[in-house]
Amino acid sequence: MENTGLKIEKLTVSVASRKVLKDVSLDVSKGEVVALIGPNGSGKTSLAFTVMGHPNYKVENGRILLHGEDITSLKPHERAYKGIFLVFQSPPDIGGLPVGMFLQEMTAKRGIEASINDINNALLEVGLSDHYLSRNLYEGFSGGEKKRLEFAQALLFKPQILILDELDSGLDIEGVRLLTGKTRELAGSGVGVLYISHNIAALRLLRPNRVVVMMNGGVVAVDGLEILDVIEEKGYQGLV
Amino acid sequence: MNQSYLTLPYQYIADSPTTKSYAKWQIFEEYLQNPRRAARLGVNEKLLFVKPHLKIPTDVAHSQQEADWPLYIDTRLPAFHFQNLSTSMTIEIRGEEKVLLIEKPLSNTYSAHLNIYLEGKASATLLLLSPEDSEGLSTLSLNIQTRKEAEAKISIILIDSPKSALALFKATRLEPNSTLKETHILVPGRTLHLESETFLDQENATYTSSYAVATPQNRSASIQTSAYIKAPRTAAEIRLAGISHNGELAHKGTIRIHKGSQEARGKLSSRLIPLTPQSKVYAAPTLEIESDDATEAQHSASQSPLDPAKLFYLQSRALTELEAKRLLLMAELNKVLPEDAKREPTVQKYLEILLASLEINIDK
Amino acid sequence: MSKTELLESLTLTDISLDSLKVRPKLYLRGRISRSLVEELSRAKKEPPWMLKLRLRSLELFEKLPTPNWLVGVEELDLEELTHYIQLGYERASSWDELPEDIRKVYERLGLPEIEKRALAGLSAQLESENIYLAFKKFLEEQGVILMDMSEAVAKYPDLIQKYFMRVFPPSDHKFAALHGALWSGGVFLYVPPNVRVEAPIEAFFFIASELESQMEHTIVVADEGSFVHFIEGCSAPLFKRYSFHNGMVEIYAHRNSHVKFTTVQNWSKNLVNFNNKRALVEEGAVVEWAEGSIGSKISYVYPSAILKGRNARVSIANITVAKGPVWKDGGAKVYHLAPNTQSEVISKSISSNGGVSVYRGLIKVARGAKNSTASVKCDSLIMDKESKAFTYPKNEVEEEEAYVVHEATTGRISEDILYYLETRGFKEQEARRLIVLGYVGDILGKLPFEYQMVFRKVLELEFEEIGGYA
Repeated sequence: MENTGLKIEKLTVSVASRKVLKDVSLDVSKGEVVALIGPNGSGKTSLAFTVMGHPNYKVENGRILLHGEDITSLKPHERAYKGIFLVFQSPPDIGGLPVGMFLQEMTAKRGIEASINDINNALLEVGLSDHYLSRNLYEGFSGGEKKRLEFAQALLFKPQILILDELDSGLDIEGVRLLTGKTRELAGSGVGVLYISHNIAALRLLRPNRVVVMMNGGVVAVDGLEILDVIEEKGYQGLV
Repeated sequence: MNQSYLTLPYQYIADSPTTKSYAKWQIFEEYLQNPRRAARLGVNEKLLFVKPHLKIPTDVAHSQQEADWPLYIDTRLPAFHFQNLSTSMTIEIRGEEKVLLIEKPLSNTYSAHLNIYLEGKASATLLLLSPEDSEGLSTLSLNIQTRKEAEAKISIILIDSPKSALALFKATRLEPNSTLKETHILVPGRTLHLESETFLDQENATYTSSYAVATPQNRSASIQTSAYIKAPRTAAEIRLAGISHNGELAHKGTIRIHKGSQEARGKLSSRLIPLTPQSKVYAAPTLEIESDDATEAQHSASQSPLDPAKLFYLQSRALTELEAKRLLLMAELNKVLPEDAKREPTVQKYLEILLASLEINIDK
Repeated sequence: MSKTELLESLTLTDISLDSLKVRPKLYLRGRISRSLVEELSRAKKEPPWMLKLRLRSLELFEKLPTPNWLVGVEELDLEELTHYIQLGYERASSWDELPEDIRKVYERLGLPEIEKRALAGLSAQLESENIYLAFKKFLEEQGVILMDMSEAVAKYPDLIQKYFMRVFPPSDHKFAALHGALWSGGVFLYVPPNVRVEAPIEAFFFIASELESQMEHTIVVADEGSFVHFIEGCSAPLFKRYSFHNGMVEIYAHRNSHVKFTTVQNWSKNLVNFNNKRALVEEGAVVEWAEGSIGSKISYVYPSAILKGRNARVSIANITVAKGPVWKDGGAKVYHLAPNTQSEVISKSISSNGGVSVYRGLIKVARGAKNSTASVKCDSLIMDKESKAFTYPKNEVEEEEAYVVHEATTGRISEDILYYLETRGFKEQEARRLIVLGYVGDILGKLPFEYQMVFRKVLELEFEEIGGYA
């Protein structure tokens, strides 16, 4: 049981010789929903990119373990293949790449058999119609549409660990309700979820098992939902 | 053979940077100094995904119709070409699809001229697929005209062998109310020199031309695309996506809008992607606008490698670095194609061949 | 017909797009004698290396091929050219000698009498001369050298020899060679390390001296870590007797220095303006060229930069107005020769009443110039059916990790914007004027404030006179 899930051990990371993460440790077990919050620039997205293996983020100290295996030096696609999925905060526009074709490639590479039906269903589940299949990836998509499609990918991907970077920003209230509900379902089926957000209301709907607070590249608090009340009243400064 | 072409220069002599050409004339010179007509022609059967309706040269004694050429010939390469013609034919396509296979010389030179007239919903596909060991030079001229009200399409697919060369001259004219969509998929041999001039001097004509070009190691292409608009309510759009993997690629594009072209639109875009430090990419987009009649005249050129943010995104979706690169390159090529061409399986197949020719096997 | 009248009557409607490909070669009448050059050098008391440079340039001038890309200039009278150099007297000698249209503009601009006369070059003394002297003293205290080029050659020959025609050698092209042989006047500006000259140095101070000569040579040297802003020219129209101007500006920006060079030119319509401008930018240095060109009949100006050291940056901003039968050929050339270099070019032109504006640019990124970025935006506004705009950029990239982007739009005044302004109570003429000012707005902001004022006013006057837009 101890060896399952994502274990981040004392990570110190820098980008272009500027430290963005200082001695960060964090665990996400199977079926757990861990919320990661903090002010802008605190290092939340840096942590997400480091776990995903972004080449600009250099690990100076510490390691990342997935089910007991050290993945710190693995390439991004290798980590993805092992089941880590990142829902990007701002996914890039890739004109000329139709969504349908991309989803087929992606599932094939992951080793998942996904029929056109499966793909259509994933879209419907997140509230997108199948006419999105012929559109170019994220070209002309609104913020909300982007988040929904990212989530649809997560559904098709069948990840072990799901990292959601600000899923709720740019999404309308219906969308927030829908996707936080689905996140809970995924956790229920054994996926370890790391949910990065600013949105206190969405976090309340999500009911995470634990709340981790980051500031200035380091973890400053780990608590239950109650900590959200403190932050709502006094801001992040109230924790210091 | 008449040697008078040797008195002409390869390009207009001027010290103005505007007329500088990036073409590799010295490669053509090798053939022109010692010109011999090709005895054997062939095609790479492995690349023939569609059955051609017509094979050029035809079996019936090489046609010798009049070569109809609207442009003034005052430079060496076209002059040589028209003096060296083995084949000259007229092909009329009325409301149907025709696939034409133009065979390539295994050695020496083969020159052919085609007058192509397109009427109604006509579509022509020209295939130039060199046998792998061919070393010859082909020169080809196309005089294309779309008849009134035509909704025509032309695809030109060139997959040349590493040692062969091609000079392609295209003169196109659109009649009133006609549209022409062109798709080019080009993998040059040692070198490709392409000059395409399109004249929109009749009202209400629309011209869209797409180019997908790849230059692998030791191969080069100089592509000159020009559109001249002289009539009202006409539109011309030229889009090129080129990938160079240790090769050289130059795109000179010109849009010229003359006085009297009310509500005309001209657009030119060039996206060149160098994949390695040895790759060279040159863009020279030109706009010549006379008068304020045109509604839109713009051009854009960008030369930069693949976006690392996009590459990372695709890798986070379990694609290896190489797979991500290929997918992104394919996306760039598809961006310039017209909607219906994108869906054609033949086009997609040839794009795959184009991508494969780059031999991007080793992760950097 | 006098030379001036001949030039003024030249129309460019004969120049069709088809004839652009091959043009007749420039015909040079007369020659420049060696003894003339020797005499010139002797009269200025120049050191032997300068005489050698002049003579070598003369040789090159005779050897180099004549350009055939010059439009509107079929013949260059070398003897007439040298006439003014010998006289050393380039401005009008009486108010009546000034062309009618220039006199009118001065009146409309509301300039005080004395300034009018100064601009017309009629008076050698300005009220502001005291300010000029005080400023000069302030600069001297900081170690800044600012003087006529001839004076500088005599006083600091070794320093000048290090820089004179190094980044722009006479062998570059025929007119550079001509310049090397006959140059006279201009300014030498040297700023010592880490000295920041916050107030712009205006060449206006030199109005009584040789800055306005026919082939002036200006050198700006910014030593490590320094900052200087040099402004030459004048928004108000200027009249020159000579008809061919061939000046040169060389900028040497040493490590981490910052040089801003602004030129505003509004010469009368009897002039062919050739200006050779180039900057050598070392590691971490920044050079900003800003050009505002309204006058002259035919002009060829391409500010250029060689980004030699890593992190070097250049920005080139041009506004060109081609009103009436004039040919304005301009652009920018940037050579990225080191990693992390950046260039930005913004060029806006306006053609009206048969004017032709041409943009010629070159961005060259050499192999090894990793992580360099270049962006070019060149827009042309065509105001009527008789006017034209041609854009000829070239991007040559031989380094794969480089980002080069180019965009150009040529168009007319947007009908939608015109309509909108008219619904807000602006008459058509006023609306057009507003649109033109808006179009050049962001570049205009790069000119010093008082220049903006005059430039704007001059633009307004220019476009008010369009009238009768059919």
